[in-house]
Amino acid sequence: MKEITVKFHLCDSAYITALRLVAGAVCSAHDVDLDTLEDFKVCVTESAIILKNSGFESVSVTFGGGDSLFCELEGDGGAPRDCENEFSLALISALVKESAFGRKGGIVNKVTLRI
Amino acid sequence: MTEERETDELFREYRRTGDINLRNKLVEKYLYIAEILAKKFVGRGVEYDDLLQVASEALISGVEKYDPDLGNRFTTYVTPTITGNIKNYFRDYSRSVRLPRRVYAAAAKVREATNAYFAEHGTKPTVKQLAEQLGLDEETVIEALECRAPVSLDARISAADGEDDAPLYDAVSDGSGEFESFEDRESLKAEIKKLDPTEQKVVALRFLQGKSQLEVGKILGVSQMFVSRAERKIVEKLKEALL
Repeated sequence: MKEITVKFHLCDSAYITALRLVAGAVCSAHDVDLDTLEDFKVCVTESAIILKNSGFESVSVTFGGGDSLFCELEGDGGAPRDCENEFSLALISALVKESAFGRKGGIVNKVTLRI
Repeated sequence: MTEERETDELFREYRRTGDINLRNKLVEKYLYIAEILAKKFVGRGVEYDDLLQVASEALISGVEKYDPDLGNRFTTYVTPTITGNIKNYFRDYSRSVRLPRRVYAAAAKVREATNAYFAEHGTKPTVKQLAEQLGLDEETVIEALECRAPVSLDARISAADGEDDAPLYDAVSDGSGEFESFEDRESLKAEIKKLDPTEQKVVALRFLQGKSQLEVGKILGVSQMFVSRAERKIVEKLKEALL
């Protein structure tokens, strides 16, 4: 599968829904079952919410993969600040095979997911 | 006979006879609970009448299912049920992208086909398989899957005027029934943080994502019994810390 990158504002939850639709479409193209698809969408959503709550204005999301599907979300703009994300982090680490969190100045600014 | 015993007797009679008039009498008696709970959620962008309707439907369902011989008082039993239904309503209401009506119609077919596939094969189908089976295009199936998607409790919702932006968690928490015990959200969060990482995952998957014990077991690579025991232990720990 070729890599694709989309960019969304985080100011409105409508964009999060749009991002979920894209994640669903990518999973469909990768021919994964519905359970995996739903788990992946939950993780993409939670990752976007982490970045939104951290004060980022927009998110760049790259999807791709060969044997396994991956997604990288990176926050951009806004006024980043530290915030609590325990539940989101616990969910993500429980639902995907691999996850990694990039930090800048202690603030999560990048999330990588792999299923 | 005390009023409480009389009411229990009414419930027993309703369970025996299924008499709709008895059910309606019980619903009328407890309608005040639906009104109180609906009022608690006013001012979050949903009309009181809509909230009361949701609460009343939950009350009717509660009356239909309540068994006085199981030990709980009806008010104790029904309050979390009504609150839970209002939470679900907020969850659906907070979806700001309204998908086309045809997608909602497709969603019912997708759910049905998914369950049938799971019953036959023991695994969930892919989008492609569903699309082929239902004669729909893949895009419609993907959209249909969004119709009942979970929403993060950390997501923010707005009042009708676009102001008063607040976390969904604030909108769905109240000070009644079982939730009364939790003096505030912060103390609950603080106690959850003290749980070990596996227990925190169980909390997130069971109580935020609403996954079954079996599903949580599969995700964490443990048995359903393990999840059940862990869940009981977690609840006991939290009760002990918060009560």
